Amino acid sequence: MDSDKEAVHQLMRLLGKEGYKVEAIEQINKMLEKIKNEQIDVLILAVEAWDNRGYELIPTIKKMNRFLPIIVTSADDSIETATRVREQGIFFYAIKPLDIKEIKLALKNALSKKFVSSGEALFIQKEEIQKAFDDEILDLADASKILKLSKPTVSKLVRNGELPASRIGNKWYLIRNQLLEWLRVTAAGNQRNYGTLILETMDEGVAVVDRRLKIVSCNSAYLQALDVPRDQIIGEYCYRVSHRSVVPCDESSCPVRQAFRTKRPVKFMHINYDSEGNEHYCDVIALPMKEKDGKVAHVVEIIRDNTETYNLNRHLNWIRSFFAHECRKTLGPIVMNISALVDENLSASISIERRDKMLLSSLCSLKFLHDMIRNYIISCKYETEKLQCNKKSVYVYKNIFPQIIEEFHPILSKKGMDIETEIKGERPIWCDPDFIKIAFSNLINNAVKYGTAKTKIVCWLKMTDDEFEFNILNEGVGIPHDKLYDIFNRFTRFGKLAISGTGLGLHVVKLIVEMHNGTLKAQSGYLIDNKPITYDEFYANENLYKMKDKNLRKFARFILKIPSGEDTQKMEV
Amino acid sequence: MSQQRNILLVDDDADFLTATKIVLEKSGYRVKTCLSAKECIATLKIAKPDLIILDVMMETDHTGFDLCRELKRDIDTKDIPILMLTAVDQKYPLNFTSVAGDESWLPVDAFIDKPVEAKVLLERIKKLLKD
Repeated sequence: MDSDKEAVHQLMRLLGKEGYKVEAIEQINKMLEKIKNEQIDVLILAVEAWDNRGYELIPTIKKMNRFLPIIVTSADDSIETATRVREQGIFFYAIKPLDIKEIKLALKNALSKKFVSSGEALFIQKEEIQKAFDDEILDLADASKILKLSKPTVSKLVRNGELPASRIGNKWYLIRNQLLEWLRVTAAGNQRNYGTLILETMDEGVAVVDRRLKIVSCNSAYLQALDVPRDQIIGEYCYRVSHRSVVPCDESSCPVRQAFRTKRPVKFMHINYDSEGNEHYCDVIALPMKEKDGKVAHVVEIIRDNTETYNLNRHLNWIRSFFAHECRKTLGPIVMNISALVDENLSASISIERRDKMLLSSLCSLKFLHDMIRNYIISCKYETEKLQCNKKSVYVYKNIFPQIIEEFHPILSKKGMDIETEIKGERPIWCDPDFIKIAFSNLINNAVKYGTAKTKIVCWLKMTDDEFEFNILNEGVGIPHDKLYDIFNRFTRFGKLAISGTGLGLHVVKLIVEMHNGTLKAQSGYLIDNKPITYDEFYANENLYKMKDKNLRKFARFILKIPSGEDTQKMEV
Repeated sequence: MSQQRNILLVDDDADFLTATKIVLEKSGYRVKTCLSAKECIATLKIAKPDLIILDVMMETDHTGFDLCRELKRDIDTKDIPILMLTAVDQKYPLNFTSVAGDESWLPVDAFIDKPVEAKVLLERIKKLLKD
């Protein structure tokens, strides 16, 4: 093959005279096809062929038939070109102008059924040649069909050198047998990596630690758990990575060291720190990897990050202890009062009036306990989506309000407080009466609890065709300005710890209002000339602001609004 | 009782104070009540009681302990026996020593679990006052 047609014809003529059957090919495809299909005994290839890229074909040809002797001709007499071409493992390198005698000798030797391969003299078996020639030449489209991969993917693999292929000009060619061999090897390689693949599927962080306590391998979850890039972990001491410590942990607290010594699996609870110093509560399981001789060369460390569960548990425990503490605190005066009343000697010495007070006090505490348990249950049920709202048309003032006021009577009288009610319009609203009752009850309870003794609680009920509005205002400790929005969160309490409460009362009101598509707002501020002035109004008014250092009375107000419901006018209670 | 003994009752729960005060008074004690640690210290400056009954958790979880330490440090109050009321049973895993600091220096003469019956409280008081 040569682009110099004159030279080709001359060579063909001369070799033809010597009795050789010579064929000239101009196209690469055709040449490769010939090599594959026909029994070419010797290939004479010009470096200059195909824009001086003829020699680039040599690896492809070699892959197709490693026994095919190739004689390369070149017009370039530089050592560099000669070296580059010879490196491809050719039979003979001839510099132009060609010495025909030299070519004839080379041809004769090439066809002497004997040539050097891998430093050993080999007889070329006709069958072997045949087998080698059976290799099919594939282009990228063929390869993509065999590999069941898209053409761009195959092209990418080829360009990255991952797939064995040869480039001729702008095209890539592959050989079927080599492709199949590549597939086989790749599969075997993957099999060897199954361990790594399995580690990657695990949610837990897994690392392999050697006897020096250096991490030799780990999965992505491990990196994620410790929030450190892979290059900072591999080869690093495990205690540096896990505990940010410069010295190894004491064996008594290190499952890895224990696993090395005992050769048994060890499980510990550890607190690890991420790069931002956040605590991670982890179960650390160390599994010894025994060698054939029984020695433990590596330990697999599994880190199960239980922080979320741990925090949930901690929160749950806190809620439980909070609840238990509140219960016991509330039971304190009840038990004291009742035990005194049932004690004959003590009871006899207590006046009837005092005894009544003791009973009333106990009753109030019991009501508080009852409300606390009810709020707790509602909150739990809401979170587990077990809370059902059975709405119906209800006259709130007529059917709900007086009953609640009656229930609060002992508590109000105990604190010397009173409730003043103002009503505007009585229309039925579409609501769950039981829940609305609880909402009112919690709001009133809140007003009594945080209200100043011997003051008035003012309730204002307004019902229009569109909505129902309930306002409750009390004088007392007020709500800190910055907490007005937090107050409806669970377990939020301000002021003294002495005022018992579930921290759920207002939260439950909010849940009930949400169930009725309503709104709930908290306001607080100062009482100036018995008029409630919110913090915003107070701070915006210069004259009022001057009074800030005076011992002003505070108020808290809650505004609850729920839509009346469209059909309520037509419905009977 | 040869003479009326004085008890200082410190708790942030007004209902409990009222109930306990009646019980103690009807049992022959002279009772003063305080709703906070601050109030307690102020009261002690005026008169020394024969016994202090103190709730462990007031403003914070360990206000009672802090107050105890202060009282036991003060030469004027260090000899007054303290009965600590707690809503946390010692059987449960609240480590009092970790809250209070040094176990060997737990500045409390006796613990009593809350809620407590009148009779039980009175018996314990009697024991502490060696009446």
